[in-house]
Amino acid sequence: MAAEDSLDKIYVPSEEIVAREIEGEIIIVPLIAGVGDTDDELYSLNETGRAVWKLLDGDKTLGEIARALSEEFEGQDIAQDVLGFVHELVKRRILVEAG
Amino acid sequence: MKPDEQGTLVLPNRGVAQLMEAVLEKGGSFGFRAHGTSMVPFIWDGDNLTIASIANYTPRLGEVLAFSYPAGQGSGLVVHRVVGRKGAGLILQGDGNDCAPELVFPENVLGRLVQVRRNGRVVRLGLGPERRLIAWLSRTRLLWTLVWPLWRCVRRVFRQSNPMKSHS
Repeated sequence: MAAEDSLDKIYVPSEEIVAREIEGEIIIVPLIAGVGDTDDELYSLNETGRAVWKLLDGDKTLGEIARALSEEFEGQDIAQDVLGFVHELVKRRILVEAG
Repeated sequence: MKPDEQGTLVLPNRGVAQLMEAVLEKGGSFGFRAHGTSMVPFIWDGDNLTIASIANYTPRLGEVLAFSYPAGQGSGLVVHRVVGRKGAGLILQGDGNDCAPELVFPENVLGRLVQVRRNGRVVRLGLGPERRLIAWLSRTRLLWTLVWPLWRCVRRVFRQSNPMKSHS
C-alpha cells in the first residue's frame, strides 16, 4: 500500500469479521470459514487504533481521518500512524477497500 | 478489561455473549472456551465449545443451548441442557449442578452446542441420542443424586486398578 495514494482511499471493516466495543475496548473476531473462534485469533485495538476504527464509516478517506485526528493526537505523525494501522489490518483481512 | 498473567485478553462473560450473538447473526458458528463446572461430566472447564445459530430451528429435548440473561440479570452467558418446556419457554438445567432449573424464553437463547473438543479431540457423549435420557435424569435429579456419584465411584476404582492410565 503506497502512502501517497492510500490517503485518498476509503477502507471499511470486512464482512468476514465481527467487531464489538466491550468495556471500552474494540474487540475484533475474524470469521475463519464462517467460524468466529475466540481461542484462535482475537484482536483488540490500541488508543490510536480505536480512534481510527470509529471513523472508518465508509465515507471518509484515510486522509480525512488523519486530519480529523490530528488535533487529538498532536505531536504524532498521525497520517503515518493511520496508514500503518490500516496496512496491518488490510494484511490481516480485517479491513477492505470500499467500493 | 485487562490481560491476564500470560498477556491474554480475558473477555467478560457478557462480552463473550455479545460476540457470540454477533457472529451467529452473520450465519457463522462461534467457538469459545468453557469456564465452570455446571455441565460436568459432559462439559469440563477448559473444553472448547462450538455454538451454532438456532435461526429457523426449534431446540429439542436434551440439546444444550447457550443463552444470556437480559442485562442486569444473572451472570451473562450460560450453557445448559434443555430438560423440558413450559408454555413458550424452555426449562434448562446444568448437568453438573444441583441448582433450580432455569425458565428461558426464545429471545434469550443465543445458539445450540454442536461440538465439544477436549485436548484436541471431539467429545460426542452427551450430544447424541443419549441426550434425551440425560435430560430425563437431570430433570428428575437422578443424574445429580445417583448417576454422577456412581460414575465417580467407578472412575475412582478404575484409577486405582489402572494408575498409569489415570486422567483428569
